[in-house]
Amino acid sequence: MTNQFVWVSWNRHKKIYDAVLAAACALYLLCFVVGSFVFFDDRPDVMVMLIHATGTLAIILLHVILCIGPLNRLSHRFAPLLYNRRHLGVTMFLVALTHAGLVLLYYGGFGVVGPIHAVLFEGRSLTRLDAFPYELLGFAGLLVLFVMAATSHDFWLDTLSPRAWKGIHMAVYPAYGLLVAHVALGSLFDADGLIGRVLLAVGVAVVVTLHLTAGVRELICDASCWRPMPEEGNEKSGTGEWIEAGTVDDIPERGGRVVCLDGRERIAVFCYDGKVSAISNVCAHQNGPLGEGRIIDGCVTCPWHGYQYLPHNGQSPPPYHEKVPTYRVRVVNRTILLDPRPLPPGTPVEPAFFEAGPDDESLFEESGPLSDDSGPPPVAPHPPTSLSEGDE
Amino acid sequence: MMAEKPNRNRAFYVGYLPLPRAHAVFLLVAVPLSIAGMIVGALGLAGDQPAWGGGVWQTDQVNEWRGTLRLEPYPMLHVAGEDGEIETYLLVEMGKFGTRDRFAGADGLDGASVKIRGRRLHRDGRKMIELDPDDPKDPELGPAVSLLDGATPAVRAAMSMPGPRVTLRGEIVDSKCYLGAMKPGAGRGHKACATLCISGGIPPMLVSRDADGRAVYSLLAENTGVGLSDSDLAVIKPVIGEPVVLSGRPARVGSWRVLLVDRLDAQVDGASSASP
Repeated sequence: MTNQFVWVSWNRHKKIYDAVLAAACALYLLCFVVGSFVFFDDRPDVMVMLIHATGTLAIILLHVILCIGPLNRLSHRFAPLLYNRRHLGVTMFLVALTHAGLVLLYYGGFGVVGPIHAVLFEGRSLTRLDAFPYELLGFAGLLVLFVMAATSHDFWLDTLSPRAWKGIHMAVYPAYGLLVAHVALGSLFDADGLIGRVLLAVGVAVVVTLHLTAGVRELICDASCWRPMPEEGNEKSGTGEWIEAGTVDDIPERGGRVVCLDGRERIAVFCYDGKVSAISNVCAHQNGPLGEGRIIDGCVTCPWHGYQYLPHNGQSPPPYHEKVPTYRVRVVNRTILLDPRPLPPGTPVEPAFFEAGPDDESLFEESGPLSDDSGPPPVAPHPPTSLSEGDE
Repeated sequence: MMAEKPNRNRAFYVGYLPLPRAHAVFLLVAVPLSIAGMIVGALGLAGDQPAWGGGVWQTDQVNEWRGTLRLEPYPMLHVAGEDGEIETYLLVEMGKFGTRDRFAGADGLDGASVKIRGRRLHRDGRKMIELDPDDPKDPELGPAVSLLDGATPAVRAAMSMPGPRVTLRGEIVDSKCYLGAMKPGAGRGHKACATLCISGGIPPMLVSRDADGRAVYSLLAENTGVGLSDSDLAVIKPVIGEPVVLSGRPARVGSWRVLLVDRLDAQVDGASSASP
């Protein structure tokens, strides 16, 4: 949530996340170095060893990064890994940059032509696979990663708009393709490297399988919460614009439910304190699924990065200024009726009231004390962040 | 009767709130397992690297040699060994450069007795000297190559008569990296560096295998006994670092074997490769 610029709004989780990440990377490099000395009779070339160590670490981190998204769609247990994924991405870029720098320096340096020309073009052929400049693929992939790392800060998210920012960062998939090809072409033609080739194949299979699985599950979820749009004639007459969105008993207290409409954005419907409100399912931060969030301290809280919105008007509590569209709701005999026409972001809508039952209690285990107020609070007690380097 | 609320009683993680117990338990298992996996992966991938090869580059030891300088097929120094055997050192500059430019235009150097200062590289008995840079700040040290007086006996190591034509399968490498400047100094990963080195004048070398699987090192030269010309290098450049088939007549210069290539038709060969 944005109100002022800071580089990184640190919290305990981010610090632990980064400490574990740094330790894991250091441990990997250390073990690689030790293995390089132990497993060979001849003394290793330190620079080449570091090139191999950083290259393999970068491609491993990239696989981890790509797996976190679908894993989090399949199980919310992985949410803590998603939370600070952006630091993981920047770390991976820096490791890959180190790898590229060492290659340019060692393989491309000290010669009759410049390092970039030497590494990318010397003795290469675009027409023969075994002479293909696979370094060129790595270089292209690194450029994409650079753009992503350079624009990873929430400053760019705010400046470019979440839609454009998300579009840029979806480029991780073409970058992944380039880098997998870079690694495959670089190692496939060497006599050794069986373990690396097997690991690469397994990694690609895992990434593809997880994405397909998460995608299929998403489709199934969409189908289960799909609601047909009212017929055009009814909409015009003003009698049929309301659609059924289940009953209040289908939605956990202070929890949400996603309603999927024909060709429209998904709608997140929330029950809380005997009231029902509906807002867009798409978080203004990084398009996170608000309907899978919870109401904490009176605010709809995004499951991805904790961005918060007041359920009755879709606005982040002051001093933050994010807004999402809202929807009109009614409750008739505990059945939720929803007007599928979105209201402009931040439009206040009177919640629909229903009689709360004895089971309407908090579902949260340990997410901190929940306010028991019946109305929206003026300020979220846990402002997640200012305009800072993001959480993912 | 009031219907029961669905009980999706699962923990909800928010980064700036205390970690729910379910997530904490999961992370306590998943994170150590992931790190253990990274350790195993690091060790596995470290052991999966190509063999480093037995080249040695004595970067920390500057020595001096006295012997006879020969400029063809590539600048080299013939030194009389204690046992009467001739030791032949290829001469290269620092970085990825040969020594042709250093000796170009200097009359009377070919066959002259010289003193050379530099660092030694060697592998499987093949030797090379990386010349020390001339240091104008240290006049006592002198140039890396200096002429000895005329009384010094020359080491005779003319090129032998070439043998019958042979066809060899192997990999064209740059001799400096392969002898120890970079390890492994062969293979696909080293292709760009090898091409750069050979472009800079480092003598190109074919590494093939004899019937017993032992490495055979052959400097590549023209059939007239001189080093490969720029046009010849342009022919072999695309296949440097790849398995190739080369034909020529083998000869010897000092302790080095030379392949006099009478027809440069280096072909990519998928069946063979030089091992580092």
